[in-house]
Amino acid sequence: MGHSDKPTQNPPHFQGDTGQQPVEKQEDFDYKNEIKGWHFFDPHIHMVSRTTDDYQALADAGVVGIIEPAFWVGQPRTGLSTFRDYYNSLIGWERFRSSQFGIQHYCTMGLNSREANNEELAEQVMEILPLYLYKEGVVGVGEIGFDDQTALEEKYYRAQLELAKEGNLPVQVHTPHRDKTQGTEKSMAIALEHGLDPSMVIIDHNNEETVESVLDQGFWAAFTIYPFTKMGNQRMVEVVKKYGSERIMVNSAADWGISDPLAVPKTAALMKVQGIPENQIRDVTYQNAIDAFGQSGQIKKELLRSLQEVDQSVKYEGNTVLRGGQQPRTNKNSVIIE
Amino acid sequence: MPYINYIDDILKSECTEKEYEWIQTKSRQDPKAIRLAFVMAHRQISNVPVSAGRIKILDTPYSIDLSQWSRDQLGRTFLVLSLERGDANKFYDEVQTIFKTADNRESQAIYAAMSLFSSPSIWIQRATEAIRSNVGLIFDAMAFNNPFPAMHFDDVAWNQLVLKTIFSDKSIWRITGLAERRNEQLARTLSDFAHERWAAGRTLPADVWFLAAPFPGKRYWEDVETLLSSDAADNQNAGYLLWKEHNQSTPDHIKDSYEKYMTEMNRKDIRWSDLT
Repeated sequence: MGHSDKPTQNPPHFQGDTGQQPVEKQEDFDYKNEIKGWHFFDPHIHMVSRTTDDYQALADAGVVGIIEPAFWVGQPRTGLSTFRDYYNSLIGWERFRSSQFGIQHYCTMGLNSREANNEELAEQVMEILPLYLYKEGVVGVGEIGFDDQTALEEKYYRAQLELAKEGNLPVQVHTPHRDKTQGTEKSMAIALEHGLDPSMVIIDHNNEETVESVLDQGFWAAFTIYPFTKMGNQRMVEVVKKYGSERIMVNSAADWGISDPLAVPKTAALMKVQGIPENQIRDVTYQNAIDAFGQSGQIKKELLRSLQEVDQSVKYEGNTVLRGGQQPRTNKNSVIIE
Repeated sequence: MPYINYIDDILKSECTEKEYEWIQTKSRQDPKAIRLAFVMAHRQISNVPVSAGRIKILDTPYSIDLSQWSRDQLGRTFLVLSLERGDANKFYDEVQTIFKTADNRESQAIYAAMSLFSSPSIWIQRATEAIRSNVGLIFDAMAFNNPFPAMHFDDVAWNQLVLKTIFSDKSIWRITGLAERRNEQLARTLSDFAHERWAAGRTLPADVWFLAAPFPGKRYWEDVETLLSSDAADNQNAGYLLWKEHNQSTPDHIKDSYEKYMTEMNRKDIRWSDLT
């Protein structure tokens, strides 16, 4: 569906958003120069679907912390064990992979909206979910909400809002691609109905049509910079010009689709060359996300002031990322592989 | 269950009153509540190093240095041990359930405490899983400051542990029982590994030749010669220490070429653990 001018064998996470055309190509500039020494926090990125090269690129671009929301992995899971192993990877392997590059890795845990439609499995997942919500570094319930806006999606959205309330955890709400405006309103209304404080709820994947209502009702508004199907970052610049930086945050939602893990630093650079004040850039690409998800008590803010020194004593062995005797940094432009 | 009372005493002196009370209350609850408390311990007990103390492992020369543990880790150990209520198989099942959803630090706490469990033989398979892990924290929890492998691993599992430590550029001196668990197979594999590294133009730390020291043979003296003729001072030192270990059986050609050097070296006090 959608983008007749682009190959989409690999349906993106945001499949189905047909209204948007590829944005005009920006005049290229050396964006890394613009943001040298700055730090970023990407509150929505699915590293489980990315390569180790991406971790290196994130570290090089100044991304010091990330949040990996639990999501749909591209095809439906067939049993509880695969769910559990996926959750385990978010608090285990990915956390460790990230630490190799000095990046703080956090996650939100939840039953995503698509798989909420498999009621039998959803019931089993809900049984084990509370255990994961109390783990170290779990900064919220997410990403939950609506996709097709079915009755089952609503049932498990509500149940998970209750879990968030009980654990005093922030909620990361995925808003639907189809019938977005109404889906977003419904998500917020239900959260309020369950007695959640809007300051504990991050409404994700906003656009120009949804942002005003989200901010007016006191929620956090997250914007996903995702090529072709979501926000482009030129549009993001305009949003910040219009609404300022309060309670607004930017993420990449990079996953297994055609996406860009460097969307946050690139957007910061674009904002800078287009005259957005630096304190506002810092708010939307770093501080606001930390403040919002930090309400979980699980973010170590002092670790986010810089990339953490990579502890060489925790290097990998064998057929994985860092091998014994290998330098952790390789020259990507070199033909010679040592 | 000989260790739980000792850990209780240490917790009493390490924890705040609130922390200690929380652990005590939780440890008396049913297994399901204890499993949840194990997960939540990081929210209730500080993640700070334990100030001091060692747990001596009964009937062995080994101990665990608690200053390398964190306070919440010690609390988690106490909670796990409080699940041990007589039936070893039931306890095993409880801990396996925790492992199923454990994050890295939770796994670390269980692996690091495994030598405190009764019926060690049922834990060996699980213990070797830690050595297969690529997560440094988990590997380290079993490999270092932990008497379990020296006490219970067979040579195959033990040698994997030692080789993987070397392979990941970690210090072998953190392994409990290193000297007494040296074996000929390990020495041979180490030599193979060294040759592989040298062929690839890479190096390996000189101190690991300590593992070959008790096993002189043809290969041994070839390696001694290679080390002595190396440009790196620590390789020369390793060659010297291997030579000194068996100086009675040194082949003549090595004796002839290095006699002056050896005399000079004898005046210095070089130890394996000083090499890098």
